[in-house]
Amino acid sequence: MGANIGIVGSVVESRADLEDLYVRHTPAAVRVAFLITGDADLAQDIAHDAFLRAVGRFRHLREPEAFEAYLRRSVVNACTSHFRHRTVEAAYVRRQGRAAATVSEPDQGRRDELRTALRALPARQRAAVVLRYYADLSEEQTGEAIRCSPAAVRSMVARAMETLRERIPRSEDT
Amino acid sequence: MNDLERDLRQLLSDDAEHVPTPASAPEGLRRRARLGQAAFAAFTGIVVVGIAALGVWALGSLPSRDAAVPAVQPTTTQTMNGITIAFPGAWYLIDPDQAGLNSSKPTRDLPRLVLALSPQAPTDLIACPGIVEGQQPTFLMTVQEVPRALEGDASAPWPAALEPMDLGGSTGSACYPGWEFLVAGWTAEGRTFGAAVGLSPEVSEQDREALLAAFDSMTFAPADQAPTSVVLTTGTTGGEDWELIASSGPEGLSLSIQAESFGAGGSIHKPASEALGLVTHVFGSGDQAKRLVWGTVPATAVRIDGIDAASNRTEIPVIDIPDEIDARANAFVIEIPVDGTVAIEAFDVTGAVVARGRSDPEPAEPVPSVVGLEDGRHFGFIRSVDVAGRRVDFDLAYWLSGEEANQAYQEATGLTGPVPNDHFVVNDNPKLRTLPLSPDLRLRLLDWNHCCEAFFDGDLALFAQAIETQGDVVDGDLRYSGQSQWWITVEDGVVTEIEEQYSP
Repeated sequence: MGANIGIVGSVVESRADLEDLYVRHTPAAVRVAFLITGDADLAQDIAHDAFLRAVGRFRHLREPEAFEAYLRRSVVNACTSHFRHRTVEAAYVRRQGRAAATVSEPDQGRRDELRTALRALPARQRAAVVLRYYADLSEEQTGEAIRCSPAAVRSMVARAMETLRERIPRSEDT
Repeated sequence: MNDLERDLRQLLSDDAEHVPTPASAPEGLRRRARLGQAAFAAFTGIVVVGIAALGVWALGSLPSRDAAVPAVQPTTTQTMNGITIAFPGAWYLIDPDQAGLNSSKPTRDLPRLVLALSPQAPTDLIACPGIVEGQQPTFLMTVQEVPRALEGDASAPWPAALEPMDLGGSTGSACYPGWEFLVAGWTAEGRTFGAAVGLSPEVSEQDREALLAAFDSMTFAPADQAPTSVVLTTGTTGGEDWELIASSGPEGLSLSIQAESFGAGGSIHKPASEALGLVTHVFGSGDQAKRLVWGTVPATAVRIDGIDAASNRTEIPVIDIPDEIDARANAFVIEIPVDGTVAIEAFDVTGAVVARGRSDPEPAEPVPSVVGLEDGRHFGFIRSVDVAGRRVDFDLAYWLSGEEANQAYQEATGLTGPVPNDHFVVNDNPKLRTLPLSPDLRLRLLDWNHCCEAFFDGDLALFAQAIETQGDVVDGDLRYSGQSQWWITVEDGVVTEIEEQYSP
């Protein structure tokens, strides 16, 4: 029989493959998570956990090459779940608002106002904006990530931009 | 692009650049990934049962209340089976026992559905909502209580995050056309749960958010009785996922393997635990086949050695069986070559042997073996298709239903409830039978657009592709499923028909 006794494993990737997968995909996942949550530590945790979950499902995917899209979907879902669980948006926006008031650079004021307004959006709207304007995803790809139709993405982004337009001019007037 | 869009892009890009990102994989990544793979695979089997149960009530004949649900809905809070949940008052909290979702004679045995939430009231039993005429629900949620998980994703404490679930197309096209599924597993107050949330493409944003908020609102009471079974560990052998379950019952401790097919198992019943109990089972077929060996040792054992034929020793971790299940025993599980044997020795703290045993060698049998099959209709799995040579490799199995299935399920798993989905597949050996295909072979595959009685005549090359990839091959509206189960008809030693078996 040889020395083949061993505790059962479910290895489907070598260590090198797994690490390569991690290094290739996790940084982008962290950035998307950060832009949605506004919290760097939380973004790291979400991306790491989402990666592990995605790897766990990897061999169940009908199209393994869809790993990146699956990971993105998992990250977006974890981010929106986070806000549902913790209901921290209001408090976070208040904190961001206070932080923004301390910035002194000339153009920094508008950027902070935009950032604050962005983070005040509903989580799914914010995710749609991040995926469209940062990740440059199509409406179809964005819909796949946040689990809604391209038309719903269009509507969500339009509502988000309308909200941002309403808030930014108002803040400029003050 | 207007100013706002340009500023927004610039802001997002700048902010993203400043967030620290990992430059390398962390230590322990592989180990955690393996745990996740095993846990998810095992959990998937459990959740699929819950999702299948989603489809056994009809919602079409009562007046729909979904369309009238306002965006802001008054919330009600109710408790069912120790779960307290807040949800819009217009929705229905359904007792799975009363709705007949568990069985016609519900028991307290796990796994069992403990809660369902729907926008419509349950009515008659039916196969799946996708084929209900008239108003269909736009969402459904079930919560299932399962044997307490000591390891894996489902052992994580509440709150849990719902995750997208890939069903491999098994229910997506017919019973739940276009539906999205989210799943979660967690442990709270000593109880382990799995939730399956189904959302139709027509679900409103308000209902989606309200449903997810209802999920998040759940709180849990401790079980009103001590657990009688726990999932000790999970794994994958020969390509098949399994759970090692310890249960206590009138006959004493039962240690069993529950696999995805429900057909690969075996159990130990031990009134006492002074001796070593040991069971083996082969998972997978061909080159992939492996033998799993599991068993019990006395609780005084602190070290277990596995000894192969060449006297090589390998230390095997001792798996703790909680005292509430059995204070006198612990467990182990190992994987060995399919044709191998292993001797087990368990030692106490003084180094004295407290139990020993040996897996029985199996009768010599080439794997895969090339043998035929008698004429008739046979159930099993098709492992490969040689289109040019017009042959298939067939893994014979047995499809049981009714009381026969219940009995086999209970013997294999050590559980006492009825078999989920009223069927049980027994596949005890990995022997492959290479069978010639008739020139007039009829390949009948399920038309999932007209589930589950309609078939279409399939193309052998596409079928071979699906079998080879163990995935789905889509041809227009038709789907070839490589992981399905089959009935073959053999006449004069030649396969004349292959028919797909519907499995929920």
